[in-house]
Amino acid sequence: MQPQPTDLDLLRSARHGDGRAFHALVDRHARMLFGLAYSLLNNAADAEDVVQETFAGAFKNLAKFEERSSVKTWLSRILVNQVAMFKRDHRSAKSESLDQGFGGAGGEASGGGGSTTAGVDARLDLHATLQKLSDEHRKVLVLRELQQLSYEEIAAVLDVPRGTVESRLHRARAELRKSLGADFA
Amino acid sequence: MNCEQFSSQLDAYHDGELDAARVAEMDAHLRECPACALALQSLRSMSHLMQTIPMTEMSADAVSRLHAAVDRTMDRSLLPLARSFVGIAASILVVATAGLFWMQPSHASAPQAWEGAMLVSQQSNDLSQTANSGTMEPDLIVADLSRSNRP
Repeated sequence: MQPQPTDLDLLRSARHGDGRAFHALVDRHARMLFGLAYSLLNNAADAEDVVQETFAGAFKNLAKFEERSSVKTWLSRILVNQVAMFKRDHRSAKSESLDQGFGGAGGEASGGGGSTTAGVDARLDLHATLQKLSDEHRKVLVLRELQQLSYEEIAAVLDVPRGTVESRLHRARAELRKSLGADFA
Repeated sequence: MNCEQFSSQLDAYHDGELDAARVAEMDAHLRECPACALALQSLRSMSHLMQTIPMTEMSADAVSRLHAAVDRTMDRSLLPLARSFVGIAASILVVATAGLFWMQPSHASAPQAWEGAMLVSQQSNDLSQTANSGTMEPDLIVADLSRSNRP
C-alpha cells in the first residue's frame, strides 16, 4: 500500500502540471479554509467566494511557494489576504443574520452541540462579540482558538513577528473578556 | 516569579508556547497564588467556549463549485500557451501555403532562350539515345515537365 502523499508532495506535483494533485489539495484544505473565512466574514456565500479566490491565487502562485511554511499556513495566509481584499471591495455588503449563521432551519451549521440554553446563549454572545472586535483582534483569535494554529504559524499567516502575535493575542483576549462582561472578568 | 511576570506569560502558558523551564516556574507560581490560578481558569473557560462555537461547514455543493472554479482557473492559465501554439501553427500554415502557391506551374518563370536551346538539344539527343538503346535516362525524362505540360 502506497503512503499518502504529503501536502508538499501534492504541491510539487501540481507545480509540474498535475491538475489532480491540485484538486487533492483542494479536497484536503477547502473545509478548513471555509471555516476560517466564515469566522472572519460571517457569511457563507462570501466565505465560498473567498475560498475560490484563495485557490485561484494559490494555483497562479504555485511557483512562488518557497516551502518555508506548511502548505496549510501558506493557504491560510492567502485566504486572510483575500478576506482583507474582499472586505475592502465589499464594505457595504451586509452580513447574514446570526440565526442563519448558527444553523437555524435549513442552515448548514453543525458541531458544538450545546446542552443548555445558557450555553447556547453564551456561544451566541461570544460569536456576536467576536464579530464586533477589530479585524486585527478577530483574526488572531480565530487563528488561535478556532484554527488551533501555533504562534509561529499565526505569525507566518499574518506576516508579523511572533512577539506581535503574543501581544496582539493578549490584547484581543482582554477585549473579548471585557466585552463578555462579568463571566470572564 | 511575581504576579506581573506570570500575567505577562499567561497566554503563552495557556497556549502551550512556553519551554519546559518556564512552564515549571509558572506551575510553581500557580500553586502559591490563587488570584493567578483564577485568571488562568477564566482564560481556559473563554478559550473552551470559543472552541465550541458551531462552525458552518462547507456543503458538498459548495465543494463541487470550488472544484469547477479550480478547473476554470487551470483552463485560463493554459489559454495563453494554447494561443501561442495556435499562432505558431497558423504561421507555419501560411508560409507553407504561400510556398505551395509559388511552386505552382503557372508561377514558374518562362524558359530562357538558352534553356530552350538546351531542351531542343537534349530532346534530339534523347531521341537518338532512345533509338540506340531503347531506354531513356530518368533525369532527362523529368526535365522541366511543368513547362512541357503548359498549353
